[in-house]
Amino acid sequence: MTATTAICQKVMEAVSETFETMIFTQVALWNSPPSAQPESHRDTTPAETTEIPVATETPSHHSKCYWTRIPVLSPVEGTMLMQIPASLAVEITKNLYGWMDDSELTETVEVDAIAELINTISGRLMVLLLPEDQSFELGLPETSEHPLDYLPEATICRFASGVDTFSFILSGSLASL
Amino acid sequence: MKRILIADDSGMARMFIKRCLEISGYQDSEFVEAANGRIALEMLKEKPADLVVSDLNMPEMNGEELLKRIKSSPRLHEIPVLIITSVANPKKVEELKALRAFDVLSKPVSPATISSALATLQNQPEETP
Repeated sequence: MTATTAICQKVMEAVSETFETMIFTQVALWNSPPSAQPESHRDTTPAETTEIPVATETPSHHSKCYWTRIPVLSPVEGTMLMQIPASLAVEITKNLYGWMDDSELTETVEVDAIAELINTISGRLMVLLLPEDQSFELGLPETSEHPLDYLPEATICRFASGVDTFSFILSGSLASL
Repeated sequence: MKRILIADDSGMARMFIKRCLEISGYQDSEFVEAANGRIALEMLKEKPADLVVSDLNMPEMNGEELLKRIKSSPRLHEIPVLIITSVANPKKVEELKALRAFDVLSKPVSPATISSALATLQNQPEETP
């Protein structure tokens, strides 16, 4: 198992626990061709998914995406970023706000839901990556509809949820943990 | 009627925690919400709550500072503070309990987790400042 695969396995654990607990949805790792990578990260090494169950269905094409990132401030510096299609963001938000009418599903509500999702995943992932007695500090999530800054030395883990796919990206010193 | 203050910068998280509390038997409570620790503290000074449920990672005043302020206040120190956070590891949990957090739960939480934590609250002895 490569280091990248090991990290993606931990990302998978954090993502699936969060999705299953908060929105009762299952996710699977997705083995995509390089052309499916987010444009700003195509020159990075795609995650290997050997030994990990992967989704086999063809993901839908998605035009609008949300890019949400959360800075890791200590004990190492880095960024965790989630690129998620708007269609999946809508589904996630509907699951979270079960009582809400479609007309109430504003972009602000979707962004808030995605930010809380990455906040929860990131915290869970740091616990999995660090020794038990190691404290850590995260910054506040930031969301954009456009690709955020180029991330050096990024590790990309791709997932499928239903017919949608999304990426979870780690950069900076996080990949060395 | 119990008054429960939920402090979290995410509206979605506040709604989720409120729903968990309602499922856990607190459906008849009065819920008040704050987007950060500073607002929460102002609201508590105006009218104390029976329970504070707070995130840690918030702008302006984080949950740890809110906890310290509550526990150092002669008027507010008896309010149980339940921390629900995504940044808790075993060491952090111990630090927060040393600051007299009633309990510390890691996100993602479920109604069952919150219900279990709050069940022990009813058997807690009265705090002394």
